[in-house]
Amino acid sequence: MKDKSYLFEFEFIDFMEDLAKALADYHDPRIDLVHKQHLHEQLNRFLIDPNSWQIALATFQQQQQQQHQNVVLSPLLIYFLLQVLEHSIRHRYGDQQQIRQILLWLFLHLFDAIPVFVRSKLCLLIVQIVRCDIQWPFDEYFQTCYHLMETQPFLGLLLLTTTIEELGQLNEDCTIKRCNQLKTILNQHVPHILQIIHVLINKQDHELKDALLIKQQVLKCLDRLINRLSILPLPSQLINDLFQYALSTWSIDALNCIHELILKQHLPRQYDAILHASLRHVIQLILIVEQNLSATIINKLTEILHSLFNLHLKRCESIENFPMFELLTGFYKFTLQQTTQDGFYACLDIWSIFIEYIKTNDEIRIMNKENSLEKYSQVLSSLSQELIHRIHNGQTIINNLEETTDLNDSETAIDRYIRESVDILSKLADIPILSSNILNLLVTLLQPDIEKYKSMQKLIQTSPDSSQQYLLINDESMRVCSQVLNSLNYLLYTFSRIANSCLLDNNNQQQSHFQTRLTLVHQFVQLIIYIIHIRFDLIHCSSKQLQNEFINVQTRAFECVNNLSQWLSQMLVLHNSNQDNRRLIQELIAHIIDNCAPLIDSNNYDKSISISVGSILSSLIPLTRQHMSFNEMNSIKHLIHRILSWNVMSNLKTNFQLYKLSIKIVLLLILTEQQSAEHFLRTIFQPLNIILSEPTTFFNQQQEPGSLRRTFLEYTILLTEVIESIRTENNKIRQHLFSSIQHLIINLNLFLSVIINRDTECETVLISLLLTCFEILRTQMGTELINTILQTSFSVFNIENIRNVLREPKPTAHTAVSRFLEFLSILVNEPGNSKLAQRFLPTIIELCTTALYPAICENFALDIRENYYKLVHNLLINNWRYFFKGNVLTTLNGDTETTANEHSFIQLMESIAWSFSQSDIEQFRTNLSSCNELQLKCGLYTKSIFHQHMSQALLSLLLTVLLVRSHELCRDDIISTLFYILTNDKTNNFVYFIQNYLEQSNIKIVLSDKYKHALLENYGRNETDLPSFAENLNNFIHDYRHHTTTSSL
Amino acid sequence: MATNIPEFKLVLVGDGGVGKTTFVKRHLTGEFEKRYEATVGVSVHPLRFHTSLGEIIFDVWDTAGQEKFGGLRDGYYIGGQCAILMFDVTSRITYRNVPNWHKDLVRVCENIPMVLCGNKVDVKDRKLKAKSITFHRRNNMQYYDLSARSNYNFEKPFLWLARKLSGNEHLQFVAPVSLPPPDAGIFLDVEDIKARERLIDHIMTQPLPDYDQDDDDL
Repeated sequence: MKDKSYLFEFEFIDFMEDLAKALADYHDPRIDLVHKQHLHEQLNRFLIDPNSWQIALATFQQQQQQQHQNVVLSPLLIYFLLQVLEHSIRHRYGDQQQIRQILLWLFLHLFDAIPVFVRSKLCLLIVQIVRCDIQWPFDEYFQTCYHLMETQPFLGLLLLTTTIEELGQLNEDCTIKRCNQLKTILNQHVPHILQIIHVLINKQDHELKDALLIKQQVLKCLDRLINRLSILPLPSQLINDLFQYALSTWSIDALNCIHELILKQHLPRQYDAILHASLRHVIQLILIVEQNLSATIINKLTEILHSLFNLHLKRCESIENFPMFELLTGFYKFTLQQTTQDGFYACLDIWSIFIEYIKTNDEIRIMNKENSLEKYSQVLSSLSQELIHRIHNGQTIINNLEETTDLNDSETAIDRYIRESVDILSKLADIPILSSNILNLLVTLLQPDIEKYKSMQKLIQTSPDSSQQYLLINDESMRVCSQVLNSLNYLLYTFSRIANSCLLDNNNQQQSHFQTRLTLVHQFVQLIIYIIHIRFDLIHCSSKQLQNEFINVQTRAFECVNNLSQWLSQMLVLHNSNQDNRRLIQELIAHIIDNCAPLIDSNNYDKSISISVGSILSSLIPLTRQHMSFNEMNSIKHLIHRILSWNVMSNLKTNFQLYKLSIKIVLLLILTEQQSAEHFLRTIFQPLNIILSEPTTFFNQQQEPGSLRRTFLEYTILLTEVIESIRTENNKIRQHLFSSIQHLIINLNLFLSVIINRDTECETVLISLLLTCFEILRTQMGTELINTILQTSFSVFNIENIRNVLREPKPTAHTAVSRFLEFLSILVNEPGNSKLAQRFLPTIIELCTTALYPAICENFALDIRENYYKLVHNLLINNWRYFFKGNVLTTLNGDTETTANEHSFIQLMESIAWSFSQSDIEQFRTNLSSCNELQLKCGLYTKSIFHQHMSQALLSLLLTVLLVRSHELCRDDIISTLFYILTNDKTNNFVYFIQNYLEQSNIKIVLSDKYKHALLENYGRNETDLPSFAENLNNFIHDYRHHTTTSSL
Repeated sequence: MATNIPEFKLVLVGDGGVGKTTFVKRHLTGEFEKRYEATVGVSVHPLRFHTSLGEIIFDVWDTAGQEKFGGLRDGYYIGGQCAILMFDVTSRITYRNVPNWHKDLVRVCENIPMVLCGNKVDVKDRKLKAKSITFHRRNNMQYYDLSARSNYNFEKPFLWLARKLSGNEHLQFVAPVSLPPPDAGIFLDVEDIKARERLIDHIMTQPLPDYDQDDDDL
């Protein structure tokens, strides 16, 4: 016997050594992943084995017996064995009393020998067993903790911290009832815990062993406690002492506690005093901030201020004698003290919160005749002045700040600095009392810079043979030029961002004001025109950097004018009755157009300038076309001529974007005249017309293979964009466009049969065009043409063809079908009585049920899935009367509503229901909201066909999904759907439903009758409002999961 | 794998379905995986990055978000040198659970650099606005909006972590991510995979609308 036991012990030691080695290998980065996979399987099997706890316990007990031999298990092994015990605690198997005793022994005796992560696990398990083991009285546990605080304070504090974090948690290892009980118990101990914490904070360092460590842990414990509490039962002296400690030590742990205090927002009134005192103390903190504090401390202070501004501004204002002025001036000083770019941005972010706050409250203030905005104007004005100066001297300022680490790919550090500063400045410029001052200061700084820019013209020299212009410049001048260009660039950017807010002054409509503003705008326009004529970008310069800086200024200047279009447009409206003013504005607009249009030229190689100009023209032309004919404008006539003679296909890559933009600009004007539009568009689309008139050559071309295809693609996309560009135009413009391109649409429709199944990209582009036509030119196209297009489409996208295409494994093969489904979605979007939709509805439904749904069922990852469900949803919601023909009278008479096309309806709904059994969460969510929308608009859940054929299955499916927590992302949506289905069915209710649900054979396997009854007793309630229903159901799910995981073993 | 390339264990956690695996796959293959398949246990992928200071490898431990497929759970965090906590900006519940993931992580890995990422910012129906995302503020973490679908801020979390781990705030990524060796993911044992299949079977065997009886209507 003795020998056998010896042998067993020997094997046991071997096993532990193997386990320790397996764990070491598993966590060793040098071990290959395939071997790790094998180890993982073994470890996991051992972890969940219901007998493993005995081995874990025995190992620890052996450790206990051999404690004097200094045999220490590896931390990985201890951690893993603790996980084994954790499994037994959570699932309620194993001798809990023995486990509890060994855990406490390990905590007390191995504490110094084990790493922090194992200590934490031990603490966690001790709290875990308090939660689960009803044999362990709470009082006994807390007495153990308190005793530890006296004998080994660090250990006691660690255990107490974990207790605060975990004891009251809503975890599924306990029932809801037990969780609530645990929360109450913890709350009962809060005053005593606070008392202990307070005593420890106030202890002198010499009174404590390891004072620093203990103080840190005390503050961590307090931090967690405040975090957990929904109230603030802290004695005011504790608050004072906490801030005193923070002020004298700048301890990060103390600041964390303060942050947690400031994060409390919704508290019962009795705790107001605590919160108010905390807010006042924060001001004291920022007033004594010095620059030599560490970055961590400064960051934490910034976060505290962020929370204060974000959550408590209204509260601060309402507190009597609250030192708002000190808060703002202190924070202003704090902002300027920042030594890093990130710190500065974080402060700007807080200012942004403040500005938003005062703007939102502005209206209320005006109503209350308060003039409190003015009391902040001084500090905000200082901030705006400071920002403008910082923007102007951006480069110098940024060099003095530690560089940011967080930049977008397209942004340099200085770009971000300027952008962030201008973001705040533009918010300040929106405040009426500040806008004029901001604009004036900006213009004061801009004017000398503009003059310096102009003076640079003197540096331009012409080469002796007059073939080239170049900048004659030495290094020193280059540096000065660069400085001027940069600051001009930043100021122009600022102007372009804030111009609209500052120029518009709704309170001042006097003529002198208008004149001042107009003069200012004129100055800018002149600058643009100067830029147009000088073209520094075309002048040779030895420094690439300087040349780029010239281009930046040019682009910024264009941006300025572009952003002025909103002001110009508003001025046209405001001065509608003042002919003189109106004429002045129109002349200014015409002046800009005349000067900008020549820059759009195929020879203009600097694309960015042409695109900027294009964008100016796109926003200005709509302002003038009612009052000015393009025939009167030479610049436009020349532009049209240039476009028509533009040999675009010879240089497709570089110019097509500009070409498209130019066409759209011209169309804005030209579409007002039918004849000119027709001539223009016919000429433009001639290359496409040639292809369409000889479709047979498309696939048989001998020369330049691919060039016809490229032309077809480019021009079809261009045509789609042209149609898209008139989406917001009136019917007359639409008619003019349609008349000009009608022949193309007819021929493109015929062309569909030529390319179907032969070229997916061309197919997709063509379907997209037809889709756009359908959306925008529907009325103009008329029934006949639409019918023809639909007939062609349905003949090429027939059931057989779609089935074949969807069998193609290459996803790109499906894009045309996917676009076709979008096309159908628009078709079925027609109102229910549309003859067109009605006529094609049976075909579309057949397509859905016999080709599309079966293909999706076969492969749910199919990329047409999203568009398929969109089509089904649109089809059902817009054609409800195709299925339900009942009316108000039917309802009033209490007649049973019959369903037409019942089979189709059930099949379509089945495809939706089927998606709820799939793991795709996004589709799940979309279809859930689709069902709810069908209920909201059409009363889906009230229909008897729904009750008879779908409701029960759908409810069971959704509840199952909740119980297995497989679609947690949609949990709230699922619960509300269950609520709506149940409350709209007079033959069903929650109690009846869950009774039946729990009777199912597969549920009975995992849930005993005892727990089934407990669930029904605790949660068998028919709640009539959604929040109560949701709470009840969530609790039901919690306990169901608790019982099924703990009772099965 | 060359031995002198610095290698760091990165733990990736967050609720099930927030897009952890899709995010990793995006780095691995450049493809966006639309299909959701819950991760079982953990899946480890070495991701290589070329930085201005040389190559760096993150061994990404892509852990199971769904508790059911948890495997060794917090055991995966041991030895973690950095972490990404992910939630889904279209689902509030996933953000509400962030503190729990964070708490579990810091118990095992003290003072490691962590990034909080709000995924799916491309989705129109964003439920969590940027202003309401504040958890990182109190915990000294970095935050990034993310979109695995549109590649928005795709490399930002890795860059931030690489800077913290190298102690060099100016480190940059200098070359596109190269494809790592084939996936040698770690999965749970056969029994767990079967359990997962049983779960799906269970859902699938739920009765769907019975329309056989309506065949006559055709």
